[in-house]
Amino acid sequence: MSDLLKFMLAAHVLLGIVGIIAFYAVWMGLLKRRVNIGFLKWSALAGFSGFILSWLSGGYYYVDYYGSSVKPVILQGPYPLAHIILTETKEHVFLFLPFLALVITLALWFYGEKLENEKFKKTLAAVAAAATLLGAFIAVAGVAISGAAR
Amino acid sequence: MKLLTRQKTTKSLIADIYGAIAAILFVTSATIVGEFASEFKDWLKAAFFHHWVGKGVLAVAVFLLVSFLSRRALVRDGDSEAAKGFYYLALASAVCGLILLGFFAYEAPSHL
Repeated sequence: MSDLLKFMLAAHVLLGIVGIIAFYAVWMGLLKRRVNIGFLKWSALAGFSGFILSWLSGGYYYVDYYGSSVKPVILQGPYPLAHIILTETKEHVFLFLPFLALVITLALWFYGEKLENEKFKKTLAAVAAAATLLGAFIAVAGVAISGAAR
Repeated sequence: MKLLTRQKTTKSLIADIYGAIAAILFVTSATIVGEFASEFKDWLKAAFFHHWVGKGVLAVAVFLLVSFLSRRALVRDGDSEAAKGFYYLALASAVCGLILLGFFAYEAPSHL
């Protein structure tokens, strides 16, 4: 694997973790009675940026290297289901995250005053929870896929 | 921090929520259709270099189109409508994620 691909893979993992942590912070922040809108705004923007950059770096690695070099190793190894179920699900669920992140970020940056409405706040927290939990699933799947490729 | 109290329209936000829901539904259906109709997957590969890139680019296009059309067509507005949209967005992402996981698990034996 080239240095560029190694960098892209590391960036994909680290930026994805930044996104998950940032949206977990947004989720927890929205559950508080008194919200810190400034913190939530910047957390959401950090999470959105993290997911977009993780999408691009992970996409480069996936398209350029994974299919030709990693996938065959997993399919011929003892854990082919890691690719057949986990990679296939992960790569497509990953496409949901930028849209969830964008909506959360737009809501906090341009409609922050609406958080006075409890229903608005709680349902936005549900979207942040979805982004966090799907992100966590993708991260755990990534660990399992890496293990299956060794 | 003190929150503002001025009421403002949420139409643009609701339109973007609808766009996000449409993009998620598109990714899910395109993924499942692509597994059964190889012509569709082949077309994605031919047009976008890789089927995954194609689904991503088309999902962005679906988001932009539905968001744009919703801005023009939406008649409902308000905080409660936006909240309802958030609820459906969270639900759609969770259900579609489970559908994809279940689909690939169900299909797995045929790939072994």
